[in-house]
Amino acid sequence: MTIQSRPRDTDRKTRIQLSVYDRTKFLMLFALTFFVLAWASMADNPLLSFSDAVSKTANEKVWLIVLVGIEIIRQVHFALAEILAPYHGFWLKYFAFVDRLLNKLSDWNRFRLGRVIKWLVFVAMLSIVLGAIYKETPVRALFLAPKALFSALPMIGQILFAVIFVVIQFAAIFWFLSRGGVDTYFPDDIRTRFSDVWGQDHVLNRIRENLLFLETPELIEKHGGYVPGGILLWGPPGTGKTLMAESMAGETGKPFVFVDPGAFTNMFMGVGVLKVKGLFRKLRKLALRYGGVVVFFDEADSLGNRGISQGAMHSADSNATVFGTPCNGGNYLSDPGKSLITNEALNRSKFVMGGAAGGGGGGSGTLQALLTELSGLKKPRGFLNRVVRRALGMRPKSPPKYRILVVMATNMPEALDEALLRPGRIDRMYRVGYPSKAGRIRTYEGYLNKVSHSLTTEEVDKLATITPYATGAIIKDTINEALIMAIRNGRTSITWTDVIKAKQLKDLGPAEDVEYIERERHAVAVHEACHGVMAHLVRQHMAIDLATIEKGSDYLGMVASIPPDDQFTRWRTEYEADILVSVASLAGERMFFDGDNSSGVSGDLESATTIASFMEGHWGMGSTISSHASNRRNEVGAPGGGRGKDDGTKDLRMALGDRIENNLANLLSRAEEILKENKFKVLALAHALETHKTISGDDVIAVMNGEKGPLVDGRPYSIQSNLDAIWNYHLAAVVAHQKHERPNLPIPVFEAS
Amino acid sequence: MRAVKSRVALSAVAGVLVLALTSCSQSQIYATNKLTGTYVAIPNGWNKIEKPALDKAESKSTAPGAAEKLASVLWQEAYTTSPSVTPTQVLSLQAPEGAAVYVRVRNLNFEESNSISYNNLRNLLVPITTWLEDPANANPKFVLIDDYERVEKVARGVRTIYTFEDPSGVSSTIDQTALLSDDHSRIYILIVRAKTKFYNKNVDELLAIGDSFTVRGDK
Repeated sequence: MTIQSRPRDTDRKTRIQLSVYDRTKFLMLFALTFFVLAWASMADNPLLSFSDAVSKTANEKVWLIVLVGIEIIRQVHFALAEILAPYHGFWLKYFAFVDRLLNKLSDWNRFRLGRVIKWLVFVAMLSIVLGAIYKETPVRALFLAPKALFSALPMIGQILFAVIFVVIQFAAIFWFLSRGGVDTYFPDDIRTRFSDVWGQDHVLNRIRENLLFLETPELIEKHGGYVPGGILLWGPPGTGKTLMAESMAGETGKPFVFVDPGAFTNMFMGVGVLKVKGLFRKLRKLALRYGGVVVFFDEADSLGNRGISQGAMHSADSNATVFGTPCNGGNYLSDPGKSLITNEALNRSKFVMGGAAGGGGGGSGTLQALLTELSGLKKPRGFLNRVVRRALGMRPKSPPKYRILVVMATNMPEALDEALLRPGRIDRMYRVGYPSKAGRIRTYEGYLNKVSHSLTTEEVDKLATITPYATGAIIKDTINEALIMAIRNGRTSITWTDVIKAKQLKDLGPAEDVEYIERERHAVAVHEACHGVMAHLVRQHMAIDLATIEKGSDYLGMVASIPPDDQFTRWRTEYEADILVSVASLAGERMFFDGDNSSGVSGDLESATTIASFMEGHWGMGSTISSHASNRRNEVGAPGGGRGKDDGTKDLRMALGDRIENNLANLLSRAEEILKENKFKVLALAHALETHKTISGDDVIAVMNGEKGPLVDGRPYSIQSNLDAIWNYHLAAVVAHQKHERPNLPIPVFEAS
Repeated sequence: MRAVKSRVALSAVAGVLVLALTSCSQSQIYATNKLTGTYVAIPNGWNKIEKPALDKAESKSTAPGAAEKLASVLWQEAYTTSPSVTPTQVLSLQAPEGAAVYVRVRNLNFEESNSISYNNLRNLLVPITTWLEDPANANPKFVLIDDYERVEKVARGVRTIYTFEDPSGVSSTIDQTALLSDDHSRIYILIVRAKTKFYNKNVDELLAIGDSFTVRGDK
């Protein structure tokens, strides 16, 4: 059985039948008016009988009879249109012609023309009423009105004062509170252009497309489409989202409205709603006047959401528990690994904090008001349009097309409300991610062109290579720091050394200039050397950037690695290498310190465990296939062995934690074997670190291969006698460690060959 | 419920239409002056004599103070059963053909307002009080039919109905109401007159005119 829909106007052959009320309301109104006038006549003349009053009114108020006549004709017209399809079709055709004529005017001109006509009608009605009151001609009465108004001013003033005194306390405060937070820029106010945004060409091209549609909407509308009305720019901080918006403001020929992140944060409930409504009223006006408008919400996460706890968002700092350990264990991971751990920490916090009150940046109702304004019911606007036209049995005019392009930027897209992101509100979401190598080169060149420097093209290329996750903001800051270093050294031109030092300063923070006691220095050096050797030997997807045992603000030492290429997929062997590098510190400390190990491995183990957990439970890199995330969500429990394993070796329903522990134990054993085979290399690297404190990745390679590096000459580490001296020093340090005393041997010093 | 509403609406509409289309003429003529708040109901079909015509006729009077009195008239109108009655005839003591109604509102000057009394109001046209005090020298056909006080919202005075022989020797009946405003600044006069024979024949209709005389005062 097919469902019968209510026919559309275009499909309807006759007019919709009016209700009895609609059919008679004006006649009833006229009847009421008639009797009121008759009553007024009787009040005016005490001798007048009711029947004479009715006769008098009928004779004197001819206009009322005329109106009754017109209304009767109108109702007859409607009744015919309800019954006779050809009759209705004729009038429909006629009015469609009138509408077509009206639509030839632009929306803005129609708006202005409508406003003028409304005012003229109002003035005409006023003059007629005044004429009746003053018993003058309407025109003359209109000129008398100001005088009467002036004489009535004191009384009006008193009444108004009484009313305003009460209302002003709220209205004025709310009015003032609903101001601010919104800045409007007109074309050419901003000079930033797309050419000033570097390294994000793929996003810029899309945005340029959006602007093109905004400026020439007929390109898409004439083909039945619509202009995408919302863009979300999301991505890590400093990647140029705001700069991109600024360049949009510079490029577009439309007004650009900038909404402050704190615009909707208010002391009183309801002010946010007023602000949203005020903002969109302004946007509609600008859109009509200029044919379009762009509105930019910076830090859109401040708008809040209705579901996720804000507390969970703030707990993002909890990732410091991973990266803030003495060993700075997280730095042995590649950045995807780091972000994984961060997200995991976030999810943990969410789990703990779940159920807390949903955050709403703007306060109660603000977000909902924004959602409604972005894509709510498109209501006909204006009192005359909505009420008067409907009262006359006419359909209100549809609202004009307000071409408003909403652009939002955030680095916390997960904090945005789901409803905000649906198509129709936000049609396009662009990730403004870390720039590619080519983008970084372009960005470095852009900022270097603004200063004096001596960097070659090859050096800029290398710089882009060793800063894989540098954003525009980081690059700008690095170049500026390099310039400060150059100026501090009495120069105005930046050199390669300045840039590298600036990068280290930004990566590691300023060294604390703390001197370790000998046995602790050696322990830290061995710890970092284990990471370094393991990274050099097993982690082919990352290159060592630097190794240091200089104490920073939240670490004792570190080996930092970078991906030499832009890589978007990760493999099991790579994650295993990550874990091997992480657990190398534990394996090495136990091996070199007679089974003892420090608390400095805690961060390494946390990182390794997290990676191992995901490998086992999420990425299909363990002994089972099913996803732990799915199992947990569906509450089906974790599997034991898995089809891929032989029945003989399958442990019955082994817990996920046990499997992770087994995997880590296996990798720890492998790490021990690798380090045992390379124990002299570990001690050689530890010696280089103790001697130079901070060395580059090339120096690490030089030590490993017994070559001359940029800072460290690795050739002495290929001589057995030197290695024996290093071994003896290590033994003395181990004894000193066990007895808590100074080593009885000094650190060996090798002459450069 | 819906049917009841429909019936009410349709009844209202029908009522308006009936009233609008059938109520075309009034049952009486309402002589009204809103400025002074004076009202009189005259039977339909009488002929109206407008103020300018009366003013013109009165301006020909040579009596002392006539011009001053005319200048102080706020409103005056006359209605007659016969269209041939002239303004001059309305203002003269001689009985007109048929019946005539004359209504007048006039401001009093300082002397008049200080000296006017109910007897002055009675003696408006003929010396009624003198004739009553000295019947030997009174009009031969003078008969006082009625005399009583009328109190209105802002004025009070006397209504006197009497018969006398007019200058042409015809018996004439006059129903005169003269009211003085409470502040003695204004006089309201209504005179209904006819030959006695005509008056007696139409006494109810003519008395109703006098009864309808209403003074509400300035708005």
